[in-house]
Amino acid sequence: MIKMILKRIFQLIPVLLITMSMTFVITRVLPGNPAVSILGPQATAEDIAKMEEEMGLHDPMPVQYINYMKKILTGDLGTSYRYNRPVADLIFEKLPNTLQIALASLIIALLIGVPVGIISAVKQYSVFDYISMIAALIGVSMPSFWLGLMLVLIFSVNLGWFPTMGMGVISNGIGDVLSHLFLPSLCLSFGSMANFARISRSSMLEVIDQDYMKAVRAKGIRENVVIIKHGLKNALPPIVTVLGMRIAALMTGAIMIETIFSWPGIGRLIVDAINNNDFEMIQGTVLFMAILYVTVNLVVDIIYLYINPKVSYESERRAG
Amino acid sequence: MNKEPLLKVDNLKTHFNTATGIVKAVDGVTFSLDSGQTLGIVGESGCGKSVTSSSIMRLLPKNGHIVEGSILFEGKDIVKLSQKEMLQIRGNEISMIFQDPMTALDPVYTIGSQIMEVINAHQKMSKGEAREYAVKVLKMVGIPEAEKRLKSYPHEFSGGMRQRVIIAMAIACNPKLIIADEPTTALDVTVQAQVLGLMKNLQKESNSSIILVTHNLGVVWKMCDTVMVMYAGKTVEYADVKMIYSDARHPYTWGLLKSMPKVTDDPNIPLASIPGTPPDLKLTGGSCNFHNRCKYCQEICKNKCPEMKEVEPGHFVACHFSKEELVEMERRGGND
Amino acid sequence: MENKEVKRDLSEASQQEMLLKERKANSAWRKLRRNKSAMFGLILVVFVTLFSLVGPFIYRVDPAAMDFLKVNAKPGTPGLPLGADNLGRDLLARLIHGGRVSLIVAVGGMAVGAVIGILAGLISGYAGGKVDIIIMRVMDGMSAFPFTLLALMLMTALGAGIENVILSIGIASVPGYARMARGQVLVVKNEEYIKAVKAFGASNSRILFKHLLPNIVSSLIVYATLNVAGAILTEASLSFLGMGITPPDVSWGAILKDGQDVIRSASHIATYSGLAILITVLGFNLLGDGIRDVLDPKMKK
Repeated sequence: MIKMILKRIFQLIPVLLITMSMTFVITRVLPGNPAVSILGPQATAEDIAKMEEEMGLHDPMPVQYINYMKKILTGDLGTSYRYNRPVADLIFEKLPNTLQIALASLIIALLIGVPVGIISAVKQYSVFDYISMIAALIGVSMPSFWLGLMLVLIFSVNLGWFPTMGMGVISNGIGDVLSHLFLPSLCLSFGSMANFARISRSSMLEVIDQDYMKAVRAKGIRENVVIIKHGLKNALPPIVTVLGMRIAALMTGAIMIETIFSWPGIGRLIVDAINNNDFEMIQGTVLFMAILYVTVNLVVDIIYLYINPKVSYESERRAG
Repeated sequence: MNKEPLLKVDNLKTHFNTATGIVKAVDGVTFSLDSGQTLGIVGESGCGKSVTSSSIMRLLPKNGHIVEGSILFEGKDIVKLSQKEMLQIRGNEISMIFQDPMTALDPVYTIGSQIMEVINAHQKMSKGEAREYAVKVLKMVGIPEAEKRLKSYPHEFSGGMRQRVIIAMAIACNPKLIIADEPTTALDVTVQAQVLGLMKNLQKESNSSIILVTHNLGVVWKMCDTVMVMYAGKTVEYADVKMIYSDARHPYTWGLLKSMPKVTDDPNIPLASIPGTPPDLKLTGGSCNFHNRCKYCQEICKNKCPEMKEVEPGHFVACHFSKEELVEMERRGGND
Repeated sequence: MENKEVKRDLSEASQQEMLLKERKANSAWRKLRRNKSAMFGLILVVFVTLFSLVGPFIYRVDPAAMDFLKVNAKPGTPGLPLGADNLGRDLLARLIHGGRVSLIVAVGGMAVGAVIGILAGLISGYAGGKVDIIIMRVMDGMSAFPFTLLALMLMTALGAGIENVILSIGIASVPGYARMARGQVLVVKNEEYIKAVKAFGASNSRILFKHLLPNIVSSLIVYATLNVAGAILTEASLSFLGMGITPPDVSWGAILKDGQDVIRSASHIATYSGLAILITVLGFNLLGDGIRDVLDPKMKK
């Protein structure tokens, strides 16, 4: 088992290298001169040239590339010209905020989506099934930020139940935190919730048909236990796979939701950076997101190995 | 001594509602079984053998219903029991062995936990006691290194071993009746003999009854005391195994017996088979289900469904004609 | 003598292949018609397409004409069936023209991604070895970025404009198609008739395009349909962030962005543009699911 985990981690390295290289290539094609952006329109040609020299923009591409890689590998994601602080610092400052809504969304999505999918499968063709699957289809078809705007309109503007923007602070009590957290995480969770409902349903339907389900019932086990203990555990693998995929959606969704709700997270950082042409900030934050995504997927892969003993057994056998 | 039979099935009918009509998978099955005895249910694929077993266990899919008949187990009618009461019976008083050992075990739980699951469902034991008992049961079915194997997963076993595990689960609570649905069909021939031998030994020790569903007449001869032959959802003949082999009375049974390949057969003569195909189970009921393949078919066979008659003590046949009448027809040239 | 017979057999075989394919296509279409939700999706897609393509000729209002007397007019105001936006422009006209852009961008992006991705996948799967490893590593690297994020990055590199949005969405879609195509190729590659055709000296490109490609078409059609759905959402996201379709061009995402600023006073802007997106994406999703059910019931997801 450990061998397989290590193998997975090892496979990660070339992917990460390519990711870092791609970020390099793409951001080097940015329009505009970063030196000019930093110094402002009043700068003289001399100042610009000097700044370019300092930023290493005069070095040949391969040298720039190597310097870039060296910096990344030592954890230096560059410096934001706008805030005049290291990008890495800014990221880690705002990361907990984004994690708040990301985790809250994931929990909501799992707690509602998976049971709904399972019940729909067990009660296939019932009214519950039809309604929930239609709702799920609508859920994956709408822009999460539109839902955000609509919910803000109804619940904040018209009904005044929730604040329209910003993050709550613990010092104001847990109620403050929760009331600020509710709408953004609900919006962000919708797409994932719908996706989990659909995949749980289809996975469960396949499991229900299996021989061992009938065999377990023949042992005189209660139906609830059959469904949850045997059905659910066997239905998990595809759900876990979708979980990995949803992390990406949560990250991009966070960018949109943070914009609508003025939530001080990494998403806002990226948007600001783009609007301000903050070259190194864009590069650093996007790269960070990619690395985060790849790492989380690795964790999900490992969880998958644990819940599916057959897969790991067969891989181990093949590995010798 | 005339005891009450352990199981008495009377005119059982199980129908399925499908998009294209009602499928009468079981449409009149009658037999009985005493304690300690083995009944073989024989018939071709699709004749309703498995549905009969599922009906006894009340484990039918959503669109299947027992529409008529009774299943008396120790005097209680299983058809009328609630789901809660059935939970007491399944795995405990009646257990089941499935056909395909590769798919009958949950792949994500160890076999130890699966065996203890059935133990804990029906018997009050501490965790340690349950574990010990699970090891004991595994040893009984011939699993080597039983203690270690508790922690193994199903995919770590071969087909034959898995079937032994399934048998272990089936006998764990000392059931009075074990329904074995084609338990050796999916196994190699050599393994088949081992598994059947194992079942026979276990039965001798526990005096439980076995219903052995199979399409293999050789197995029936070795293992069974009584035989019920099924065709297209109905019982066509039911008797002691010796009577079936020496004095079968239904044309279908004759066909089955004739089609068994024997070592003494001349390899150049093609195997006998029964021409024709079984009827559509949505359309049966108005005639003898076998009439279109029976070489003795007469007018009455096309219009009326034959009833089960006791032609001699303990020997039941569902045919319009007696053996003497059929022999007479043959002598006069049959009805080809 | 033998050669002629063989050639005749081959042409008979290919004729039969074509007949079979025709029959399969016809029965597939009939099955699709029976699938109610797929048909509903098709209706939505057709409606939206007609709305956007034919609409400008029926509802001849200039989407860019501003009327400061009618700023934020509510739907139902005389002359403004869906009201006006924050610059007094007719919302219905903007939705019609925006729809045209959104659809073109989504379909265009899908096309770009499909052509490049499928080609890469075919080559990678068929060639195997080092070529396969290199192409797949690049695809893995690209997949390390969430789809919209990658498109966003590409947009910041390329700059604003409809063509760039098409290109960004297209490039971001490439890994998905490549993986799909490669996977299917790997399955089909070793089947008998491919080996037979190879034995007769068919060139690699002939094998790729005439024999491998048609067999993977069905799953690719499903993927492409669902890809369009995703592309519409991505374009909306990009435009919403100001990094997609920017003035003077109009798209549903851009309208939604305008709507956000005036959500309190003119909620209809955001509501209707969002609804347009929802209806269109729903249509493509239903259609894609339906096609998938019809072409390969085993492929249920």
